Amino acid sequence: MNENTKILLILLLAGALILSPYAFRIFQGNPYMINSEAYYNIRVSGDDVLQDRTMPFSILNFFNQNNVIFNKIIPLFAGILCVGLCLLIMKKHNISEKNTTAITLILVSSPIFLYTFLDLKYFSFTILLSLLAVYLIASKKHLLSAIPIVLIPFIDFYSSLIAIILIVLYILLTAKNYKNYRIIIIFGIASFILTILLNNYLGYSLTGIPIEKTRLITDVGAEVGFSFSSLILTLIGMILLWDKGLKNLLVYVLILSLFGLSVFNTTLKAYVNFILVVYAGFAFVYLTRRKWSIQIIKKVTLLLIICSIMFTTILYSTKLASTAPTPNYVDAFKFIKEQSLENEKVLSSMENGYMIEYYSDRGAFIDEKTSIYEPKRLALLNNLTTSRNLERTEAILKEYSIRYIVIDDAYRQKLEADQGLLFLIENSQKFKEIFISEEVDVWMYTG
Amino acid sequence: MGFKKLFKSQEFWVAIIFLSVLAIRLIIAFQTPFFNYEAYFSLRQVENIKDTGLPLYNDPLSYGGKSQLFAPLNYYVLAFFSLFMRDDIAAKIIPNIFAAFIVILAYFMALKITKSPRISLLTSFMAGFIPIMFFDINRVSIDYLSTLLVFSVIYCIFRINEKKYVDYALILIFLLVLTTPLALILIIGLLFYLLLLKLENHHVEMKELEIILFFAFLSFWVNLLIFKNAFLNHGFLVIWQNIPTEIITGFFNKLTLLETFYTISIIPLLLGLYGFYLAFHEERNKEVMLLTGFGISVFLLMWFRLLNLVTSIMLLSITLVIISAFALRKTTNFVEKTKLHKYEKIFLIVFVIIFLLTSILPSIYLGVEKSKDTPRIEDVVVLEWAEQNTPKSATITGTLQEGHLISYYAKRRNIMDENFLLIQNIDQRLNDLDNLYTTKFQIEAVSIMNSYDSKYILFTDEARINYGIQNLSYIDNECFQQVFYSQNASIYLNKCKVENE
Repeated sequence: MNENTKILLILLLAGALILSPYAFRIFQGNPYMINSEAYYNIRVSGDDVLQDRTMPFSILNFFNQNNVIFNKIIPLFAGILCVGLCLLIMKKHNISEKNTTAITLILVSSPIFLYTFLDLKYFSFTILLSLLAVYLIASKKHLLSAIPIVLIPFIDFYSSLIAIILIVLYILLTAKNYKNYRIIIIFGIASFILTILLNNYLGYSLTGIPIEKTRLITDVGAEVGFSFSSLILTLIGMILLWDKGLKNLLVYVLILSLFGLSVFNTTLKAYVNFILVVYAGFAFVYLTRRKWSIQIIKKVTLLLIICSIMFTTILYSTKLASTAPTPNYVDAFKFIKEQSLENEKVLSSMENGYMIEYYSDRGAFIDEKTSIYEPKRLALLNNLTTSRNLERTEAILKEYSIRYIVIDDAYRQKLEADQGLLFLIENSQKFKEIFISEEVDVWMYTG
Repeated sequence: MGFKKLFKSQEFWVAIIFLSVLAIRLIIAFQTPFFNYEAYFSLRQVENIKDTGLPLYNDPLSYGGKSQLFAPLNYYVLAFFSLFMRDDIAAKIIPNIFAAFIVILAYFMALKITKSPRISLLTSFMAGFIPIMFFDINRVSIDYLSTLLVFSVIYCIFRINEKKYVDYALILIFLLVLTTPLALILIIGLLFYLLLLKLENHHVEMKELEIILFFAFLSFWVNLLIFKNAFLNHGFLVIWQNIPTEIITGFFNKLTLLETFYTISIIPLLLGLYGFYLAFHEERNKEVMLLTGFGISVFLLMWFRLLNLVTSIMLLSITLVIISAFALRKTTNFVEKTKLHKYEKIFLIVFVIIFLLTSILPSIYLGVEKSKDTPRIEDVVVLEWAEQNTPKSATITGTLQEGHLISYYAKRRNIMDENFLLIQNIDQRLNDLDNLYTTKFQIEAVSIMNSYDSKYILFTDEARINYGIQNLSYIDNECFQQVFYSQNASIYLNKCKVENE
């Protein structure tokens, strides 16, 4: 196959895979956006009025994000461009065509890649700019490469931390003469400091580093994670490409550390994925090329590897397609919007927070940013859901103006395990069920 | 072939040992018409396969209705044989045939390690009477087929340089992953084996590496397909199979340290450890290293409570018995060089007497004792009555052990059985079940039964022993009516309901 045709097919495949969760979703009769950080981003521009939060500075806040172009089409093209840039970077490094194809195919079928470019996430733009910077550095266009590096902190401050570390690492590993890179590093640091000052000026404290506790592997239930088969391939690749020397040891330690740390941050996972797939791709090509002593095992093993990678991708895509919100959820949230006063808050699981805020236009008691802005509220939430003391529960509900409680299956299980709030909801006369559907119920606190 | 020649043939004696072990096992198994409580799940699967051609993956009775996740091959094998005989007969005979086959396999494995037919014969004899192998005679245990397949794969890896054994290994690996998740233990064992080879500066054969890679990917993928929902539900914690904390914490209580020693049997234990020492210090032996890697994997998984205690000890015991062959060969070589070899027959007699006392008798004793751990006739009578006289949609509460029994005989929903996967708040459920049998307050009992939509409660001697009670404290005619009883087993109907104000 002609190389250009192959590249075109890979880019088309990337686009098709990014779109696949929404395609499955539309087939299921669900036109709503998949629950993710995107709900938060498109609702908030600079300031979160509902939650009274100041957001870190981002150029993207100047755009109206609540439209299909910004929310679906631009991330899709960002994803395709990222794949294209990966191909160009590998070409610059004289990586063989087979390896390049394997690496990009593993990349586009990885669950994190799908998640990153599915809809509007700020870090998807920083990844694109990071890859562009790396490509320009690899092309020896040092001055030009400073442009994306300068832009990155102005899009997502926290992602820029990761991006700068990785770009510096890339320079350290590939550069023969560091003098040429001075300008990039100076511009990068200057831009980074400027963003700190700007955020400080706008009243946003950068000390609240977003730390999440996530799972690492998609096959064992991670919302955003790595594919187990790719990880095994990565491990094989790392063993194969192991080279004695301090430099190599440093790289391996750094990669493994970043991989370990990525359990606490989705953005880091997305970046690390781009590194791990390189080793996985090498391993796959090695397995196809090496002389096996038993041919049948070779064929079956390679088939199994391909099947398991594809299986993970399809499983993840269908899982995303069936996640909330479904029409029942949206009806419930819109019902709350019509029913409630503006200052009233809604209690539900942390995962439902962004959706509730987006559709009901009311503040959620907790969402996934609560741990950054108001970590103490999580302890309070624990008291609330585990206590059977009605007086104490009422005091909290009143203090935070919580009037509505949205209970879906997952949240019900959590409340059942906590054995507190659910008991009060069902047994005291202070709560009334005002919305019932197959998937989600809404209770109102009547006290 | 004349009788003299026949008697001299090692294969003849292996067959005799096999038949003797099988006969003893079957005699013990047929002492009761019933099975251990867990076995009734397997029987339901066999019935369903015979009726529909498929296992019961969507079980309408377990926990009031849930999906069951398991590798199906064992049930298909039982269903196949039950085409030629009654289900219960097949369920008694077939697993015990698999268990007895360990004798033959141990013979060939020992022969490969020692090249000595006499020692191999002795090893196969020891393998036939490992006490822990008599623990689950009436459980229709999946472990026997799994164990047989695991050690068959190991044997094929012993002989991986012979082409036909590569083919056998591929077929057996395929069967193994379709039978049990225990395949993953073997993969970990093989990785330990590679590590040991590396540490001992042994050459790693490419064929072995290729087989391991193939095995790892196949096993991972098949298990991912089978347990997909469990992974999505429980995440990585699925490796603990969602077993309630109360049961996990009592993991090692199933056997005391002394019982553990006598279920392994002292001779294989000592000889196995000695063989392990010899293989690493005096004469490096790849086969023993492979078995050692597997043993380490089993031991670690047992230690972290990832593997059922009985299954772990069973796998460890067989491993030790086979490694014993290596120790026996070294010992007999040594004895032959000394004047002690004149007393060979005396040694053999002493050995057999010690083995009789420490292995054969404990095996039979354990088999007979554990075979008594079955439902009583009156329990079955009550449940058969329930099948005829309760609504089809009824849920019958029983103890955790009785869950499968209720589904099998009464064909009614239970609120809990020993398949914990996919159930949310499992600790709460077990706690509720315990409270239901031990509470003194009727309102609590009614409330629990209401919350699980259960109107009937089964009360048997099993519950009496389990909870150390004589009667359910809250029984009266107002709320709980005894609708049927047979000797000590009763079934009560709950007529009350706790209304929320």
